[in-house]
Amino acid sequence: MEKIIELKNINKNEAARYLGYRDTLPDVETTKTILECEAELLKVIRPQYVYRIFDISFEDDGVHVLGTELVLKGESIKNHLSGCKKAAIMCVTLSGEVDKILRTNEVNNMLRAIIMDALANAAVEQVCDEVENIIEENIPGYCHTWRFGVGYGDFPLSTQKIFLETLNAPKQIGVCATESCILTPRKSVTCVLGLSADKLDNTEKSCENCSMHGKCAFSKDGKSGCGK
Amino acid sequence: MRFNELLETKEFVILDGGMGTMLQKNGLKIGGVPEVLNITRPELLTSIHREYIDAGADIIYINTFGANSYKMKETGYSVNELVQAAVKNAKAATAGTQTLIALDIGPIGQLLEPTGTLSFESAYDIFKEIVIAGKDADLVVFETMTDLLEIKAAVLAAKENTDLPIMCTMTFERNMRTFTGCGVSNMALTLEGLGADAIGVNCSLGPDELMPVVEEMLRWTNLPVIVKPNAGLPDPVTNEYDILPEEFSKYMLQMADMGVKIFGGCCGTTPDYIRTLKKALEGKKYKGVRKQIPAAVCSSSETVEINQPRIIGERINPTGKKKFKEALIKHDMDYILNQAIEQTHAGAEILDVNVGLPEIDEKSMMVDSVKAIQGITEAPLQLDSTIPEVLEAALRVYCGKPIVNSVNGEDKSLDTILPLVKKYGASVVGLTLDKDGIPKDGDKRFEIAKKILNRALEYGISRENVYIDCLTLTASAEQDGVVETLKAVKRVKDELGLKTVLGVSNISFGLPNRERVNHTFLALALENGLDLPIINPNISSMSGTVRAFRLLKGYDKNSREYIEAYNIEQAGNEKQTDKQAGNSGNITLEYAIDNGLKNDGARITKEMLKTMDSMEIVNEHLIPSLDKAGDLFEKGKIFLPQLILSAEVAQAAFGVIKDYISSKSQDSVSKGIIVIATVKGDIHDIGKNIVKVLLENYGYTVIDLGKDVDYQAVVDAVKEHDAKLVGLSALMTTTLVSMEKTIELIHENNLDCKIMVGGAVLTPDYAKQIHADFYAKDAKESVDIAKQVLG
Repeated sequence: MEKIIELKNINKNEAARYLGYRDTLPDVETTKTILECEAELLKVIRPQYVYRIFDISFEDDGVHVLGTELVLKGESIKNHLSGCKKAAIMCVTLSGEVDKILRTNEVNNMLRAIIMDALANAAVEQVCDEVENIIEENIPGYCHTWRFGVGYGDFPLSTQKIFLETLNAPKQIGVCATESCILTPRKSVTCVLGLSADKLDNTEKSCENCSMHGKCAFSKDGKSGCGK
Repeated sequence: MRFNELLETKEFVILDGGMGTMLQKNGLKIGGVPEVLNITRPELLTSIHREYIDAGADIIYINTFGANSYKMKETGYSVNELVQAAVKNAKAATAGTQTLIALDIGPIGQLLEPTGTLSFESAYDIFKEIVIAGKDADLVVFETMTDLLEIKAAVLAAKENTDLPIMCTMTFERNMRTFTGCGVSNMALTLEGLGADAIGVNCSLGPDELMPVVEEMLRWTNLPVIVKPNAGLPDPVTNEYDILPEEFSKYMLQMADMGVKIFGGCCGTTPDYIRTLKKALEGKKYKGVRKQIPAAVCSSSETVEINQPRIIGERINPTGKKKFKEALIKHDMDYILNQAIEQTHAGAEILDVNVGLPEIDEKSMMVDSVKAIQGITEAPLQLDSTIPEVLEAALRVYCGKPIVNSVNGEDKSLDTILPLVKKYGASVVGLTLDKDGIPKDGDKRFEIAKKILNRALEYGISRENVYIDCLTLTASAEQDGVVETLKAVKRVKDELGLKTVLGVSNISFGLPNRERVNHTFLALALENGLDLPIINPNISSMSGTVRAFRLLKGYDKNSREYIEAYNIEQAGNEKQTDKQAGNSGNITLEYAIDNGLKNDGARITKEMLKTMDSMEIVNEHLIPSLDKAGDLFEKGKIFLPQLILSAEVAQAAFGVIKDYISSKSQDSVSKGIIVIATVKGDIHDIGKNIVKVLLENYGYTVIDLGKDVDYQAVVDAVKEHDAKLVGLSALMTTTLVSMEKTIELIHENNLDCKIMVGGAVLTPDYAKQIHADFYAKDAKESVDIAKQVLG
């Protein structure tokens, strides 16, 4: 039986960071609005997810996901999965109602729109965390790498369509990609976890192993990165 | 045998089971394209079909679920080849049997606008190609659909290009909705209206969990109902399903008792399931009964049952509204959307949409408005135009079951409008007037209502879908007419049993204190049987009268809705008054902008206009305050939410100034025109929308083309508005190409305008490389650029 994920709250510190707050906390009024927006969003967020675990093999043209048509291309994903015999591929979404509430607020209340957008981004990461936990439970004895997103580094965004088909994601959780490989509904994520029975050294994401190292907005001002 | 004969002669119709399940057992890789096997392994398909026929299937689905041009693009085969091969394989299997062949069509695999980028029109074309390729099948089935608009495009494509009978099944989750939020009643009302031959559910859940969905569906349709569940739920690791054939059949038998006619299996089911099912149903009798379907209209996610007075909001209509007319001419969709949001918040349950203006192309405006309004509100719409072509265009793209406003008692009107109402499965407002105008006598209006009803019935429109408008006359001019209208409403309601609709506000034209007359007349009309008052819900005495009426008549059980509406309103009012009282000292516009006080900003601006020139307010107060906020934002002293809040106060202040200027007919305050767009293929437009808010508050006129904008549309807008600055945004590496192409096209057309670009993945270097004139790192910088270019 699949486990149903329910979000009871959203990581508001994370959302505040997306809104640009780093060393300061949002003021009282903004905090109040963030709380209102959180309550409104939680009413429409319906977390859905799908994942599958496959054996993988490293070939010249990329990492083959065995038993499927999926090939993971690019140096960065190859490095990321090195030492792994299996990989979990997953897709999560907050569902389409979130898109609608964002659209409505963009028309009549931009403040709430940007706050909800940031909250939704934080929420989708939380759902990913939950799915990671579920995967851990289902494959005991394995440790896993951090989540490597489709389109991250040189892992081509054009993998999106076949990635979704492999998970049967359009049918199972209603996630599709546009011609430009953008996921719809918008607050959705596709990513890969490397799994290994041996110890791995890339279980946590850090500035050093990030493809945006030295380029990202968070580190431009010389301070430490995004905090992930 | 034909599909309708099958329905008539058999107690129950048996469909086949899973196809993907069978193909994967036979070596199809996960993520592989099943349709290619139609050509590479025809014998496999024929043998699977045979297994299902042997198991007892009356109808088999051919292997064309994903055979659309989008999904098949990289297979090297055409849609036509793959579909015809599938038909051929199936015919080889059915030869010598009575089994029918269903052309099986699933979702395209891309979401439609506004969540995705696929337009309704493109979806229609994609389905059209498949149904034409598969016209040799015995029927067509659209299955596993989750978007009501997508399946509507599919049904229209089948109806307009083939004679095939149509079965439709959608996929519901435990919350009784599809992934896109479509409800069961919404599906049933819409698809029965469009002329589907059978409707139902498939996939997603096992038969036990589908029970409540099926029960709800049976309440909302008289069509044969289809159930094609999964074999329970898949295990996420092994992908095995958890319900065996016997248990599967047990639940299906319960559904036969509920009134289901057509049975089959979806993912995880095999010929064993079908065989067991067939056996279990033997000797059972079909329990379908004809029932009265509730009078109702719907969008994709909201069904409004007309079982008590329902408010139709009248505000989306340019008649007598200068600002609305300007918005239509400027194609300012946000203005219209705000009218929609305001009315639904005030209590409107259905929205009338009229965008007729001689200066504009009403048809395209109507289509754009219907699409945009449905993107942000759940309220069903009443499509309002005097031009049949406009109504038909709106009816096509409308998602759900709308009301058509209107037809009248003239033959020409009846014979033009009613066929459209029938074809698209809408409800219709019938005005009780004819070539001689509005009869003074209420009884004569009743006669016209009867004529409209009879003609509607002749066209196959059922009586619960005919709403009669007995027409409100102006009390000051025709005082005796008031009781005639009320009398006609009562007779139509009592004697014809039809729902009634009435535009209310006209009653008080030419009188002082109109509001008082309006809501008193509204109460009278409601008591005489008015179901659908068309009113301005933003006037609280109007929506309040309807709410109070529903309470007093016992529709609003335990006064729940009434209390909900006014408890919140009162609390909100108190809060606002407090806030204003606390700040009502000598605060300035600058203070209001710094502190995000929207109401104060507007109020102070009104005060200032009494003694100050409007441009002075803009240049000496508004813009310096915004500059200050922008400066603080740049320095990291304030953050995006505060910047936006300041901008919203400025927007409120600007609104006051614009109203003032338009009332004085002075020149506009625009500092120049800027065209902005999120480029083709990209749908991340929040950044662009933030830029828009800021630019507008600096007094620039912003022509917002939206997201996923064609290259040519940008060029056209620059030409049309003679814009000197264009802002383009893109958020994905995959859409930067579109940005480059848009810029190329602007340059090819030798347009005298500067181009600024922005977006997360963009860098100043890349901006230069694609020949943009400016790179804006954030919304604040776009304002600096605008100042530099336009002053």
